[in-house]
Amino acid sequence: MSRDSSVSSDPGPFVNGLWKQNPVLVQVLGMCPVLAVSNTAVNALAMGLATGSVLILSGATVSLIRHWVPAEARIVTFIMVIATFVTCVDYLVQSISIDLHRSLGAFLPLIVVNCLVLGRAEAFASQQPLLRSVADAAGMGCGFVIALLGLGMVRELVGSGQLFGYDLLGEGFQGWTVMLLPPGGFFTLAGWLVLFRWWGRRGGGPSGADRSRSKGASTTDG
Amino acid sequence: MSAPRTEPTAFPSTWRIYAVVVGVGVTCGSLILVVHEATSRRIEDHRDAYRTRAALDVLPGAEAVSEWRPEAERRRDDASGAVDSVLAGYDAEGTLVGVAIEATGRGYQDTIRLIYGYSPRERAILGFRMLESRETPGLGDRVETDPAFVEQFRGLPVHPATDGSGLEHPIALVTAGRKRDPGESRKPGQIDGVTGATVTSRAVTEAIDTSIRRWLPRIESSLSERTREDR
Repeated sequence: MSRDSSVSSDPGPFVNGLWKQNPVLVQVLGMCPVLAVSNTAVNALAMGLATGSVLILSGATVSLIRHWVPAEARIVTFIMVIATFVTCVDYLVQSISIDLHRSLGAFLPLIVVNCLVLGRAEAFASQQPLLRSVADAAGMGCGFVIALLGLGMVRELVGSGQLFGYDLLGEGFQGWTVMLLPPGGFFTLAGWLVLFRWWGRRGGGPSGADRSRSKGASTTDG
Repeated sequence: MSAPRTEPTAFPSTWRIYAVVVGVGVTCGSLILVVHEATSRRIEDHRDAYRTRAALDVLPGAEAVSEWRPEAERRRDDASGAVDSVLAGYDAEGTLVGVAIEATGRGYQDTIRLIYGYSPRERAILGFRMLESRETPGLGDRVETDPAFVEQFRGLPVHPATDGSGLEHPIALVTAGRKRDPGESRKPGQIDGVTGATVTSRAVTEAIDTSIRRWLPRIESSLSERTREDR
């Protein structure tokens, strides 16, 4: 995927998606997979990459067909495009590793209803040229991966004392099972959000609450 | 939605909408077809490999497995028509170590699928391995990792009932939390569940119980036929 070229030619949308409007930490979009499949670092990385590739592929396609699609038919067309790429990614993950597919479970097909994907297609790719759309999707995808990894690594480390399946904290460590369960997702997400808000207020991290909402996407999750 | 711009030409635009939606749909369908065709072989291989790996795990000492169909199975007496797959495991000399049988049960979240090994020589279950489970991580999935639970299925004796129907001692879960009287010893076939994963423990136990009831007579009769043929 042409991530590098799009960054050098047009850094704007990429950095915007990656950092300033990070889909998870700033826009708080796509919460269902974020909370559900971030229980281990490997799951988080795989889910992030799957969502990211669907974002990029659907962003590029929507941008390419944007002049032909009548306004009335755009949602149904975009959803069809997104669903197609999700199905393809589902097959690809199965063909890469059945264990990975097993651990992602139902959340892989559910990328279709992740409002981040449709939100970017509708708010950005349907109005922008190909390269900018791909850069935006790649930025959003990377931002999604980073946020999921942040959650997944913390949850796996605290929940089972491991990182990417390797024991780090030794035999004596008693994992906090709750961190691997859904509540752990909320705790960890809350921790990250607090950290980033605090950082933003000190002028460092992504923008604070005032600039955080993207134009087209709502904050409710699909 | 800002549609008024297209209103004067509403009629032709309907056809355009049809054309675009159908066009995109056909293209998308073809793409899925291509990807499916390209990956189906690999996916099937992965599934088989996973099942074989699990079958070798539950048949200690087995070096190779192959599909096995008991003689009695030629007539499909199953009402559902679904025939579980059975793998026979052989050691390095080619002697039958046991059979690995797939079984399904109702778990806490969804149907669980597991594979367990049975040794006709020892008349015992050799162990089980999950094939598919969406049980709660950290709770339900402990039925695979809790050694106390897993150990109970290693060498669990099963005997056909004397009247030929079912098992002499059904494999059943002892309700977790109900303490046995100090003098009361464990009856054969009784399984202690994993605390906090009672539903999944019961699903595993019942899946194996139901399946072995169904398969034990077939395996026995098929093996006795085979030994008769050998003589």
